[in-house]
Amino acid sequence: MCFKTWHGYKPDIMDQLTSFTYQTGKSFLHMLDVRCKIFSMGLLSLSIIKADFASLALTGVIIATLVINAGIKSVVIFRDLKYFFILLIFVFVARALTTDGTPLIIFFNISMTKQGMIIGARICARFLIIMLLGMVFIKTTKPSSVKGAVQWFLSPVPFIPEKRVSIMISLFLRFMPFLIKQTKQISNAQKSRCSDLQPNPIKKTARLCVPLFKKTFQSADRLATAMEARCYSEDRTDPEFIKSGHETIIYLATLALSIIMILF
Amino acid sequence: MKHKIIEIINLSHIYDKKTGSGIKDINLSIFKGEFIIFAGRNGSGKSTLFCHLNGLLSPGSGEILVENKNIKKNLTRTRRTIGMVFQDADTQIVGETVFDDTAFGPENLKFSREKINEKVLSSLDKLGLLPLKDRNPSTLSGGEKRKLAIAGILAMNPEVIVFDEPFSNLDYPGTLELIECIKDLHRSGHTILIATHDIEKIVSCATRLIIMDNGTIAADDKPVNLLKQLETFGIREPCASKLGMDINRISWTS
Repeated sequence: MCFKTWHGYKPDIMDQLTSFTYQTGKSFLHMLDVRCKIFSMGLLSLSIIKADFASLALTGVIIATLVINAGIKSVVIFRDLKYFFILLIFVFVARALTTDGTPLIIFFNISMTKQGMIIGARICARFLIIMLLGMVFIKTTKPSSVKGAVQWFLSPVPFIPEKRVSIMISLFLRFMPFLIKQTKQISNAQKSRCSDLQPNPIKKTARLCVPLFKKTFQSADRLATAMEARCYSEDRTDPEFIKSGHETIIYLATLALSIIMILF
Repeated sequence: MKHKIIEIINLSHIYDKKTGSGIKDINLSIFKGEFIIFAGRNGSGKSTLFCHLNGLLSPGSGEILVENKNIKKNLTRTRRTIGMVFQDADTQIVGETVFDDTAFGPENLKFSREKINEKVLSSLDKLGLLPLKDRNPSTLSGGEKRKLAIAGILAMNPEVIVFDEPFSNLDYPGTLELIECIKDLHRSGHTILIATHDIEKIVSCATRLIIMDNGTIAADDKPVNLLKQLETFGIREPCASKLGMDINRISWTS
């Protein structure tokens, strides 16, 4: 009876936290093997450092197609990246003002040069594409799949306990919202006792950190007990990777696109 | 004849010798299909006893037998037989999604992926959490988190389910739904053990009431026979009993 009401329940803090997380779907990218996605994203992010406008435009079109296919709304992109866009504007203006060249806009003895604007636009486009790549990846990949892929990538590396690393990633992802919530609760409790009046920021931080650490360690202790109660062991069932069958094409397309970006 | 599932023999665990806090000389038999409430004020030893049932603490003396075998001989078997739902659901949930968290136990038991999927989906379905399987547990309500903690235990297929203060921090609808869920689990054949200091919510379902006081078992009988003694041990007597009525007439489950 009450279940239906609870289904839509979302505390405010979680609204903010979940805007840049996985969203369910059955798009091309949702179905793609996570290892292929990580490989492609890594290679493209590295190659993009050398990319010029033509290859950036080509990559941009491909990513835009994937974004539409993944069902990510442009409103969501603008909402999630709004602060990033401000940073891009700052980078663009800084480049335009500090690079020597032909002045295009002159305002109170400050000039923005043509060369600076071109360099600024190129850097901003590269940043934007890397950010979009990351965003599309996060929105179309389950955190548990990322954890599984990390375990898979680390398994041939000697002296690294990949299963332990994987569970640590899992716990980190799980506990970030919890820690943020705890911090907010402690901060509010202190504000209600006029902690705002304390002018020294170091004292203020210390007063927040001591109870936060205490609570965090207590929670970690309880978590360890709960994990033990559920038979936690590093010898666990290995993660499952589901292939869509398009992985080979994606590997080849990524390689081709990377070569285009480096050469043109 | 009743099937004895757990036997506790002379169990003691003292945290501090000066204060004597902990549990002392506990002797108890638990039979399959029972619904037992362990009632007592804070610090009476309920949680300590429950941690022993799950092999999370080592006894100072005495032993616990599950299906006639000492629990320490095979902890994995013990934890598969006795599933424990802790008081704080937030620190019990380890997965990034509802599905992943429920799969944590079966993955530890090295079940095949097909078996894990089957167990997880059936547990989530049983608790009405299937539509939420891809949700981040942080976004769930208190009641849903508690149910998720139960689903994680159910996926390991335990015979006995132990709840440590299950109703703490739950609102009224959450409590009602959890009570229904616990009743369903009992009806489906699970043995239920609940530690609580607020017995009113669940007393009408219980087949046995054990009162703990100062680390010992102070009383052990059918709930109806112990209701009038409750307040002596710092436990609130249910309203119905205070009014001289049958506990089933004014209950949270009616």
